[in-house]
Amino acid sequence: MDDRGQQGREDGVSVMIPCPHCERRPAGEFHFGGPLRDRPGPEAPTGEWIAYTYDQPNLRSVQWEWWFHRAACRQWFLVRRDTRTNQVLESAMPGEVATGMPEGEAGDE
Amino acid sequence: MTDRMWRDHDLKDAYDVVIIGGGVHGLATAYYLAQQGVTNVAVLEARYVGFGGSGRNTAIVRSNYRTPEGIAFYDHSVKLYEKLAGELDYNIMFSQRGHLTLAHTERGVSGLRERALTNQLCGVNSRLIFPDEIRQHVPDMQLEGSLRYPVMAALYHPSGGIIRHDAVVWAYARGADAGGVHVHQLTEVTDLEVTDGAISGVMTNRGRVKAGAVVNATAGYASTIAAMAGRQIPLETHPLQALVTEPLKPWLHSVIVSSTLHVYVSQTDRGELVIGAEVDDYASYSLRGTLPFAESAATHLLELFPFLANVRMLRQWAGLCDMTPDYSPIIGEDPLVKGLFMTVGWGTYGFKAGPASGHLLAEMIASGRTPERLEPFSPGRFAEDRLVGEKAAASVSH
Ligand SMILES: Cc1cc2nc3c(=O)[nH]c(=O)nc-3n(C[C@H](O)[C@H](O)[C@H](O)COP(=O)(O)OP(=O)(O)OC[C@H]3O[C@@H](n4cnc5c(N)ncnc54)[C@H](O)[C@@H]3O)c2cc1C
Ligand SMILES: [Zn+2]
Repeated sequence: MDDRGQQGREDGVSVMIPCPHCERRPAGEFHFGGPLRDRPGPEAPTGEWIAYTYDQPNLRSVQWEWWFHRAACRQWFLVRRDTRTNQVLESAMPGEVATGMPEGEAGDE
Repeated sequence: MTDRMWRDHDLKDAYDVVIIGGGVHGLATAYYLAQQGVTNVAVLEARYVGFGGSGRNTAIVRSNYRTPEGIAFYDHSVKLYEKLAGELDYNIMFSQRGHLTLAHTERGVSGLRERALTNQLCGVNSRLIFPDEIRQHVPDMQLEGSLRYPVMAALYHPSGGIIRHDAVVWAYARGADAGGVHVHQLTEVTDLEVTDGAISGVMTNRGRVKAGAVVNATAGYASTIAAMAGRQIPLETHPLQALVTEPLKPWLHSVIVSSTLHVYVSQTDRGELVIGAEVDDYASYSLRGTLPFAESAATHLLELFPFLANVRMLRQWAGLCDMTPDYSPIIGEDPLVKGLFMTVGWGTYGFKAGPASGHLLAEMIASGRTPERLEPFSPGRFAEDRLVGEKAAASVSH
């Protein structure tokens, strides 16, 4: 419940996303694609697909997630961000992050 | 000396019902539970009453939704709000000053026409009006000329308006307290206890509390509570920002919303203009406002009201919204955890629903039956493919 971590953010006025192709740019240039998740296989039972479609981890911690740089290079890439503070810790190209949801990576609260 | 609005208590080690979250939904549910004779109830609030969206919203109350289920539900809430100041003996300043949703394209006009007709069939006062009549309501609004998007029509909803949100929350807390409910501030739930598929209690920073029923009423934080029982729900938390200007003499008498321009505005009784837009389009739990929001909201507002160019902004803020796939709430018992109820998914539009959902959820918990008005919003609707699509009526006009 502590939001004071936000004071650690380097930047005061706008959330910045580091595109691996370009540079740190304001979040408004990007499209947010949701957290990186394991997708059920094509043969998975309907229940698994329903859960994948609707249920959300909606983590209040650090997560890997998809972003698309729609205003410049128009590439999808991955970002590791703290959803409590919007602080971005690193970015990566698709495929560079091996697993799906990095579970248990929750920051200390 | 006046009495305190609500009292402090020691945390008991057991309650019949524990409600997590001291916003309008948690407090209204507690108030109506007490009204229905369930009085061994605690509201646990991590910060202070009204810390969440209930103290941060732009206070629009209306019932001109899109689906018959949504319209009936919000209409029930507006009717309860109309009587609430008397019932709670508190001035909640509900001002039904009229609500105008603007259309700037042919497609927008036909969407609003359909909404007006559905509203009318459901008995809600709502109709399509055109520039001549729009001018009578808002003579100072620019409808054409240099506008990128001229105003072609508006959905006029006379019973829509604004309310004093803090007062509503405080009045419910006071009413719940008077009914015997314990309102505990600075009491954070840190874990849920589930025994044999049923909720048995909660862990807090002040100790353990046993409970036969637990209600998740934490809006933007609802996923963190569900996760304590190993559950995920169809929610994604997004910030919604708003700003107010310095006070002006009263000149704007209706609530104005434009989805095309991504902006809405109303004037409070103090004279400030309250201005908002859509949620930030990335998920986040940060409560920090951003400059791009203020810039874009101001730019869009000036398209409709160019003469406001020199008016100063006083402050801006953000609140957390628990967005659902269909822009409708999720109310009911968790299908896998008996006794774990949720009233979540209130997104950007839930303040107006506090009385209806509090009233109906209390009935559900007290009676063990699902009231008919709540059935459309059950947690099972996603798996059953019964979505209640309200995005067109709720994404900018909260
Ligand atoms: C800027 C803005 C404008 C809005 N405009 C409108 C509008 O015009 N009309 C409208 O109808 N709606 C509007 N809304 C939406 C509305 O504010 C919310 O839907 C509504 O207030 C949600 O109420 P709630 O009681 O469910 O949750 P909240 O009021 O958010 O309360 C949840 C509470 O849970 C507490 N909590 C969280 N975690 C824990 C824990 N672990 N233990 C204990 N307590 C916890 C929080 O501290 C918080 O106080 C707006 C929202 C925002 C942010
Ligand atoms: Zn780029």
